Amino acid sequence: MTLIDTPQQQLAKWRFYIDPWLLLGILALATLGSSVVYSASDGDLAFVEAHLSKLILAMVIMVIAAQIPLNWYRQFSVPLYLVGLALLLAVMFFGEISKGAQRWLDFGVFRFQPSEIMKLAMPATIAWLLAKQSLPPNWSQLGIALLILLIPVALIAKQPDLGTAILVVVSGGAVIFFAGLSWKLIAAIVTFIAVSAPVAWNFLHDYQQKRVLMFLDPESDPLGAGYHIIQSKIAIGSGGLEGKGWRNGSQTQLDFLPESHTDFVFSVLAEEWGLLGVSLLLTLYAFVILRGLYIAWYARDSFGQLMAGAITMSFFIYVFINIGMVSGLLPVVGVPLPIISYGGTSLVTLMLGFGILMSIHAEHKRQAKRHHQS
Amino acid sequence: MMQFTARHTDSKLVRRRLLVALLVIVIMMIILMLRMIWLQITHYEKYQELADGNRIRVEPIAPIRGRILDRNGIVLADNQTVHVLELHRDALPRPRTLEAVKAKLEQLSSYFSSLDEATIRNLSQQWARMNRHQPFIITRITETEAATFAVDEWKHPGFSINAVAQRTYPQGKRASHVVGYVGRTTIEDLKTLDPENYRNTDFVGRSGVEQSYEAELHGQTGLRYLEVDAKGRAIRELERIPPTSGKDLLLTLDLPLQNFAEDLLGNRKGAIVAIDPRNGGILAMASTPTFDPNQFVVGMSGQDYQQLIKDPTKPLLNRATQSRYPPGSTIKPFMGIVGLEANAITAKTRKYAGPSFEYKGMIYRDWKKEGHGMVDLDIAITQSSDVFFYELALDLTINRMDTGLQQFGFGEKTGIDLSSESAGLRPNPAWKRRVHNKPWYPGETIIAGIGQGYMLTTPLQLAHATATLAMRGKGFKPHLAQQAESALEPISLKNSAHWQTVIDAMVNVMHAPNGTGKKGGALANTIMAGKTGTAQVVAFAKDAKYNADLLPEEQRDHALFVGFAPAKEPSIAIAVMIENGGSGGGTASPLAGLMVDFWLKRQTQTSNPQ
Repeated sequence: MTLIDTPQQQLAKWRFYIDPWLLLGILALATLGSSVVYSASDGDLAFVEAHLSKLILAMVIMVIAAQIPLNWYRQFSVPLYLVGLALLLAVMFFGEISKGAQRWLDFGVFRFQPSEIMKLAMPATIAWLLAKQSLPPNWSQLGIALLILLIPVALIAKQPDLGTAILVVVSGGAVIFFAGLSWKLIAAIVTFIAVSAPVAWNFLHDYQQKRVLMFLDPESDPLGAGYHIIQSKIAIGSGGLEGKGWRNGSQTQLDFLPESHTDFVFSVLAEEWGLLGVSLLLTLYAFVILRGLYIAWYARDSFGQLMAGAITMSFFIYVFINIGMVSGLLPVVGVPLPIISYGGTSLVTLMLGFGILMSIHAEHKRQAKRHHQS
Repeated sequence: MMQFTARHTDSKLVRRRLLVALLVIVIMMIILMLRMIWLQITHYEKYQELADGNRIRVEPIAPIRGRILDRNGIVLADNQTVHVLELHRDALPRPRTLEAVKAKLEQLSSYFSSLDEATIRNLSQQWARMNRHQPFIITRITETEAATFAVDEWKHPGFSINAVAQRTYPQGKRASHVVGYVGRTTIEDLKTLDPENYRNTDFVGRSGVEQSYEAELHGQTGLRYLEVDAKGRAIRELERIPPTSGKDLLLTLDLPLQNFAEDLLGNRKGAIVAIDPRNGGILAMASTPTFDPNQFVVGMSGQDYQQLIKDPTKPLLNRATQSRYPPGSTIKPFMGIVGLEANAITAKTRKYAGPSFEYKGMIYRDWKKEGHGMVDLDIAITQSSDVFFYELALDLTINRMDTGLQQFGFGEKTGIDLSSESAGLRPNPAWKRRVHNKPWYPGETIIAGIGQGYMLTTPLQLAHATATLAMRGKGFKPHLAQQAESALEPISLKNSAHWQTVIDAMVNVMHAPNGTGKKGGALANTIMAGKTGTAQVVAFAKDAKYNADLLPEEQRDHALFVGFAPAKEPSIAIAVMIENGGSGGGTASPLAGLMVDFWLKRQTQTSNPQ
């Protein structure tokens, strides 16, 4: 019995596979999200149509991604990482500036944010590197992994896009953590960050500093910078246990809530559906996350395990940062609520991640079947 | 087998970490849930009250656009209060669709004459990007229409009349190329402008100084905090951060002189540029035909607009800065400076200037059939000898001419504070190789010596070069806003006496009995310096006789003139260009003479008010 199949064998064993549980969770979240977006857009069907078409496109991509053998992801991780790096550099020189940040590449037909590639290519590259040898990684591997992590993060943070930079750090950091980074080193890194935070402060842009200060004391500027977060907290709190009812949230419908269909979509849900709605949402998220961890648990090899763990962990961190942000636990960093928030390139990346998760699990299923047969 | 065991321990390690991650996720989920309970249960009543009392909406207030004034404080662009019909989307009866609004507007068109198809089409285009909670200006209406509708307004929820500030140009067609106009803000504009500051700005500068000084004229948008009822309708204003009005823009332009220049041009196509050589301020910049900027603000029908842009006389074109013409003989004083500096000639060099110049079998004719006889630089400029400058150009070579003329700004944008300025064209062998992929011929050098051939200049460039010459090399950047004055790197000659040599010749052009510009000199009432030019539009066969009256108008020569006054202490430098106007001496120089006279009289008037 060989562990690595030839391409012919791979092809012969290929079966169409979708993970039903993951799909179920995603569909439930998408349905919930669409109804919230509908309410947030004041019943504008055109808006919901656009949202749904983006969701469907992203899910088609997910289904396709699920059919690609995991080995391909392993092999293409490094080239994709290098392409992503080149595009990030291109953004620095030719990127389009919008709202004071240079994040986009304009290809005429569509605009594109290269930092999205890094959310998957970078953890995949680190997982490929660390899975080549037995775990936990040695010092030289760790050094290279850190370099792979920090170069794109520095480029993204410089754009400046703090939100995405944090998410990319999380996805790469999760791989290294799952690979068995020693607890002593983790403690050392945490201490280092705590000590260097005041230094990093000086590197933040004015508007980023303002957001952090405003987070610490939103009431200091209730009609200026703190306005968003105060209105968001009022929306959530006034929802109570049962909520004000669908399309009845005064904060949402009277436009007190900023960006109600994108970054602050959670507040709409909390206002109109109350704590019950919030619990439903968190339960659905927990379901998807548990399924992700299950897939990671049974992944066939280290690469699959590390990727599955990192994708799931990143997904959870998106959820946590967004909800933490709109409820006043974290500073406003501009991270959408996964699957629920309206559109965006990040949705495609997210679904591609789920596609890879499914591909990892497909591998496991095939192996289990073979065990069963033999 | 060995590998398998290693894989097994690896897997166990990752699984341990997955359990740690699960623990972290559970803890963080609990934190989120506790936060929600804290907000939605523990403090529910507090937030419930806040939401109920939350009736404050923040709305932007557009700032008042700065005015544009001439140097005397005469208003060129102002704001006036006008009545408009507004749409309030969130007050419309349901369904609030575009189709319903269009149908309603059809009904309302009986009230308002300006509510035509074009207006409704414009509204449809803007529909998708409209802010639902802010009024949208549908169209401008008359006071009578406003009064009539006010009675019935209650029958039409979602539509109301309002008074807003609108841009107006009290001088109408005067100085319209300089002042420019504003047009409706579009989605394209918001890509380059600060969207926060333009949230409630309906118009932005589209041409002229309205465009180039948009940032200063616009001002800073203010905010107002409105108390609204449960349906979102404003009840009263609680607080406001007033907008900061745009700054008034003070121009160097002298409106009386500008009007005088436009009247001099009359219904001919042409341009007159007058610069104060002592600081580079534009005193007049006339371009005819002209247009009325007010029609861009009020909004014109698509047909009117098409007519305006397709007009063969191109009224929207600023001929002073955007049109390029061969400089003709007006280049000769500058050629003289370049020739003297390069030691190709001295002030005393005499050449035989016969009826024509022959080089390698080609004949280059002088404008004067019988020629000028023996001439030095002074006579060559005074009488505008072509042959003298053919020979000088050949001696200089095209490359030395090129660098010499570059100093005066030919072939380069002057950097005036107007957008879409043309750079003209200063040809050289490298340029010809690049653009036409052909070698440079000596014959092209010869005709370049009298400002014909490839060379092209804008009237502004000519005026600017003349101002620099008048100041003996101390140039200033031409500018329209008083705040934009800036000195340029002065031209330093090896022998500064060369300035005087050429200026003396230019005085003779205007005042000597055989000077080509004596018609203009006689009108100036002062000693002025100048040079006429007549630029060929089409080339003629060797033996053909030029007879302007027999030619179609667009093939007649352009009449040109450059000059400054007073010759000793210059306070005005002028370039005149009249398309197909005939000869520089006959047509263009008298206009310059009258301009000088008018300006000098105005200056004495303003310094002695009695």
